[in-house]
Amino acid sequence: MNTSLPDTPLLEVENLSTTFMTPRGPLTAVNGVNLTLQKGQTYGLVGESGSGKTVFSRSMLQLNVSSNVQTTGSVKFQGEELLTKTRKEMQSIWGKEISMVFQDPMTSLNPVMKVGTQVIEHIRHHLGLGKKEARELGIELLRSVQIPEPEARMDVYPHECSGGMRQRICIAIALACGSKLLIADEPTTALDVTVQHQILNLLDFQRRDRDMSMVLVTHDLGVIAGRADHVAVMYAGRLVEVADTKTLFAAPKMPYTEALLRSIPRMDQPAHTRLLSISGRPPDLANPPKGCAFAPRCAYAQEQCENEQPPITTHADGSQSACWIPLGTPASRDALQKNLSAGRPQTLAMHNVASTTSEVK
Amino acid sequence: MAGTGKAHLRGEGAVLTVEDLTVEFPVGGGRKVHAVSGISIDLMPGETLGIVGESGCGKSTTGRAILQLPRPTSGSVVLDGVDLTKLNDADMREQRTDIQMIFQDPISSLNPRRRIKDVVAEPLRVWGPKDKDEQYKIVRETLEAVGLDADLVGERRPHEFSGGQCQRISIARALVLNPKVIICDEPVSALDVSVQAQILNLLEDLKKKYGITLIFIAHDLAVVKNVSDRVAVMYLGKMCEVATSEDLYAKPAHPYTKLLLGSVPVADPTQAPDTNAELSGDLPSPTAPPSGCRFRTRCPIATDRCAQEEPQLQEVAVGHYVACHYPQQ
Repeated sequence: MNTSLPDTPLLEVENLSTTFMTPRGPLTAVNGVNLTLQKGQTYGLVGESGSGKTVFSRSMLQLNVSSNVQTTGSVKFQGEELLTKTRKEMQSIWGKEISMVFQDPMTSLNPVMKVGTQVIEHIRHHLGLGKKEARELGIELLRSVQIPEPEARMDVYPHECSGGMRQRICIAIALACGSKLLIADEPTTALDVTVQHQILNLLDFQRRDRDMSMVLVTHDLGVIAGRADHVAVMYAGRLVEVADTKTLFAAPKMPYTEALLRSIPRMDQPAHTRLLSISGRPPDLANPPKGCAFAPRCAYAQEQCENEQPPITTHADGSQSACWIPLGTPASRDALQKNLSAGRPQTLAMHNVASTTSEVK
Repeated sequence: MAGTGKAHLRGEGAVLTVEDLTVEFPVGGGRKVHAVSGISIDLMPGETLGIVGESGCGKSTTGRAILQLPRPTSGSVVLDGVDLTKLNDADMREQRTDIQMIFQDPISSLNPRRRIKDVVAEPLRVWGPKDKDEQYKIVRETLEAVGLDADLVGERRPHEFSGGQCQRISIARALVLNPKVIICDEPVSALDVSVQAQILNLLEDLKKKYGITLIFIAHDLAVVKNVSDRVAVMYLGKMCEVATSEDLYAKPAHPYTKLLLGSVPVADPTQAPDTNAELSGDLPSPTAPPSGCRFRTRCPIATDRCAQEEPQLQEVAVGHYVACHYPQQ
């Protein structure tokens, strides 16, 4: 790679959009996303299923290759544009400059190849080492991800390993070539909570040790809270809020973030605490609403929200949000009062005034 | 952990009492998977019992064995004075109307070819009133109770609904015969957090309205705390700890419960994750579980005694039972 200026961000995503051509018409899964990642940062990307977080992370690496996908915008890695690169050029970036760890550790390993063969193949391809050296490095990598008896593990098949072990192997492969950026897409969703804890600790340690940056994609706000410095919240294909983790959890600006934070059950709450629920469900992306995509479910929504798409704006504390009526402003308190007195069902559900069981159509 | 014992059972007045429930599956070569080994639980009317544990700990098998699906290898399941394990198949079918189940995957647990009103009416066809209009009247009331518009959904089929709505339909189907106990097996694990909150609130509302008793099986400790009055922690087919949800989360006494709670990511950035509370090693094979306490191979405080002697559930505080030789304070 080119030597880049020290102040060039590691990753700079500008106006990235991904559209799938479906039988029902074009479906924009990622819509105008901007993101800047500095060296050494961990970015948490949260959103519910269908919010576009996986498509976004795959689009950055041109992994959505298929005739019905259109990706526009710009993705600069160390100042170099990735979206115009050919598949062949990308092959020297995948796994070498930018690595990815996927959700399901079973299907991301080849079931008919021994673990060692897969690790060695990767090392030899990118680093051009001889068989023997590659094997030694492979064993060293397995040891560094805390796999017991790494020599013996090289000769087993993936099905002989537990889920946590398989994810460790995937991480070892991702770390093999000294990548500068690791994209971890729901790396612990398929795992038990104790194994999740181990894997997250491992990722955290390796990231610091190797001075890597990381994009951690997850639906779990708990995972984000402990592991990311910055958080980007995605809803219906757009980034709706970007802030440093402490600010986001302490003072969310976007009603969707607030609703997400308040709808998760927490262990520090007493049993039978009534959860705030978000009524309805995410919009159909093939037929998106005219205004803010969250407006139909939002407790604060006003007429403007239903009709106009809010731009992303930067606040005094450095956080960014896409909302006409950011939380914490007098306008948002007024909007809430107005909706409460008008009996807007979405607002009542958020505030537990009436029964929250009825689903808003 | 990995203990047995019945010290925690409260006897009188329980709707459901399970004693020494054991489920073993033969796997050939004379070996057996010890899925559930001597679990005892009881449920008071209107109570919610949460069962937590990692995958493979036998929590789902326990739930299914209570319903006699499949029949347990040994042990007794007494529902309102009737021992379900002693019933023949025909009598068991009749008893099953009092005990219903909600499954994890809401979409695959509904027949895709049937209309919603027929899915929900099916239990009534077999056990309910013979009159069709009467049946549909009950279906309509039940669908309204779970927050669905009976006119809008009745004629549609499962694929037209989201996961959360399908879970509401499954709940309606479980409710329609007015059961005494509902066993929920991971009812919200397949749902997004915003929908999860809707379903958890719905279950709480229905509990109040119909006075049902719930067994809530889940791996998510925060969810279990939210819905449960009492929580049981399982490991490798055995019970570790039983206590009220407040006590269990505030003062876990079993080393496994401690590690489990320490692993849960907390949605609070000011609280750094505890990198020390890490569970070492892998789950031992359930075909050859460790002797003595089944958790000893991974327990940070295990001694020789743990390998020789199986700990029994003992009371460490009022209503707080632990199966460990060295309960933590």
